[in-house]
Amino acid sequence: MAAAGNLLTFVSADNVHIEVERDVAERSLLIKNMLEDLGEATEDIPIPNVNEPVLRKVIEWCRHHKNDPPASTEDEDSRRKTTDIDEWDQKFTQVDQEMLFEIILAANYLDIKGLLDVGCKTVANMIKGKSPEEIRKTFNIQNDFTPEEEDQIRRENEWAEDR
Amino acid sequence: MADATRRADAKKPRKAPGHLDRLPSEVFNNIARYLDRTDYHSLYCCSEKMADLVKPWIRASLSARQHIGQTHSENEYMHMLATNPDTVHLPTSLHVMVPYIGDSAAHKVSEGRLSYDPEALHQAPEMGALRRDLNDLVNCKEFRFTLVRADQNAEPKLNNQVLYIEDALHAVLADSTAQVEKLTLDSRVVKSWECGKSAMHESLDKAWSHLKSLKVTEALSSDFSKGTALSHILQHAPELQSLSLNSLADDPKHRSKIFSLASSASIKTNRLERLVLAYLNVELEDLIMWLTRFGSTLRTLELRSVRLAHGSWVDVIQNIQDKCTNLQKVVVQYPQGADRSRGSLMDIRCSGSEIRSKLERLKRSVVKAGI
Repeated sequence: MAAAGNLLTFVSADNVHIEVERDVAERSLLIKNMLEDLGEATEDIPIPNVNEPVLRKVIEWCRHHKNDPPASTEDEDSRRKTTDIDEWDQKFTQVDQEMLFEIILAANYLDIKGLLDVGCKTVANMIKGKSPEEIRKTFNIQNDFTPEEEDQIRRENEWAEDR
Repeated sequence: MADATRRADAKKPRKAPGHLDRLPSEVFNNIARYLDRTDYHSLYCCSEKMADLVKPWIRASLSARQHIGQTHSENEYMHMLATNPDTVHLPTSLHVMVPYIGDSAAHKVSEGRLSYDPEALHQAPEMGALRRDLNDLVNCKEFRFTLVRADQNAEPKLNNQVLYIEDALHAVLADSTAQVEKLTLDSRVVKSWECGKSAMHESLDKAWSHLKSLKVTEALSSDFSKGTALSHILQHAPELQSLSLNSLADDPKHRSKIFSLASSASIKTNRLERLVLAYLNVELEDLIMWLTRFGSTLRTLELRSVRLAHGSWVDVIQNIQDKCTNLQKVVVQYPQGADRSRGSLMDIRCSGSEIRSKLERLKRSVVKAGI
C-alpha cells in the first residue's frame, strides 16, 4: 500500500502494514531524514528491525509526543541529571521487560531520542540501588564468574553489598 | 499433584531472557549515564559481559576528583579503589572535605565546657583505613583540604569534625607514604570565635618532601594567618616550585596576612618558579626578599589586587626588572586594589620579550598614580 497524502505506511519486520501520520513518523530522525532525501514518499517504508507490536508502541509514543519541541543542548544536560519520567511515559513503559528492551532498541534504530531516553531512564531506575544479585534476578543475567572469581570480586567490593 | 505443578508452571509469566547484558554498547551507555559509581560496581559484579560493558564507566567515574570526609560510602569507595588491582593506579587526586565543629562548639571548647582532642579525627578507625589505602594508591599525589561549615543543626561530633585544618592534615597524611606533590588548603569557614592557636603535628614533618605546588586560600577569619600549617609546610618542602597565596576577603580592613607569615618562615626550597599573590596585604621588604631570593628561578609572577602596606610600586617593579632575570610571564592586576579611575594601564599581563616594555609602561603608570 503506497502512502496517501499526509499518511505514510510502515511495514514491520513481520510484514504488517501500519499507517502513520507524517508528523508522527517524523519524530524518528531516521524517517525524517529519509523523507527529506526522497522528497515525496510513494512507497511503503519497511522497518525491518521492528515487529508489529513494538512498532505500534513506538508509534503510540510518537503520536503522544508529536508536538514536543526538539531537544536542545540544555535539555540534553538536564536529561543527564535526572531519571524523572513524566506520568504518561511511566504508564507507557509499564510493559514486560522484553517489550521494554525491544522499544529501546527500536528507538535507537529509528533515532527517536526522547523515546530512547525514556526507555533508558526506566532501565536505569530498575538498576539503581540494587545489589549484584538483585540485578541478576531482575534482568535474568547469568552469573558466569567462576566461584573463585566471584569470591575475589566480592572481597574487593564488600562495601557494595553491605548497604 | 504433578499435573497441578505443570499447570502452575504453564501459567507463570515467561521468564524474560537476559537483555541488559546483550545490549549494544551505545544503548547501554545511554542507560549508564543515569547511574552512579555504586551502581557501576554492582553491575560489574553481575557477569563478565556486564563487567566489560560497565568498565569504561567505572574508569570515567574515577577521573573525577575523589571526595572523602563527609560520608561513610566515600571512604568505602576509596577502600574499594585501593584494594582492586584494576583501579588502584587510577585515582590521582583526593579532595578532603572536613567539617568545622562550629562556632558554638568552639565557644564551649574555649570555655572548657566541651573537650576537643586534636588527635580525635586521626584516631577514628575510618581515617586509619584511609591512611592505609593512600599508601596503596600510588598515583594519588594531588590533595586538597577544605574546611567547611558543618550542618548547624547537627550535634557536634568531635570525632569527625575539627577546629583546625591542621588536625585534618594530621588525620589523613600522618606517617603516610603518600607522595604529596600538589596541595591546596582552602578554608571556607568564617570563624567568629577565637579558639587559640592551632599547632601542626610533628607526624607531618616528612609529608612535604615531594611537594611541588602549594596553594592556600583563606577566608575572612584568616585561619592560616593564625595557624602553623603554612610555616610548617614551607619549612619542610625542599622541592616546592609553585606557591599561590590567596585571600577570599576583599575588604582592606580584613586582609589576610599569610604573606607576612610565609615571609617569616624558614623556607626550605631554592627552586621556586611560580609565585602568585592575590588579595593580600604585603610589606615591600617581604616582597623584595622573595624577588631577591628566587630572582634566578622565578618564571611566573602574578600579583593580583595586592596592597603594599608601606613603600612604592615603583620599587616593586624596579626589583622585578633588576632581580627576576628569567621571568617568562608577569601579571599585575589592580595594584593597591581596584580603582577604575586609574585606567587599564595599571594592569599588565605579559610574557616573553614584551615583559620589559610592559613593566616600563607600568612603572610610568604607577608614578603617575602616585602609588
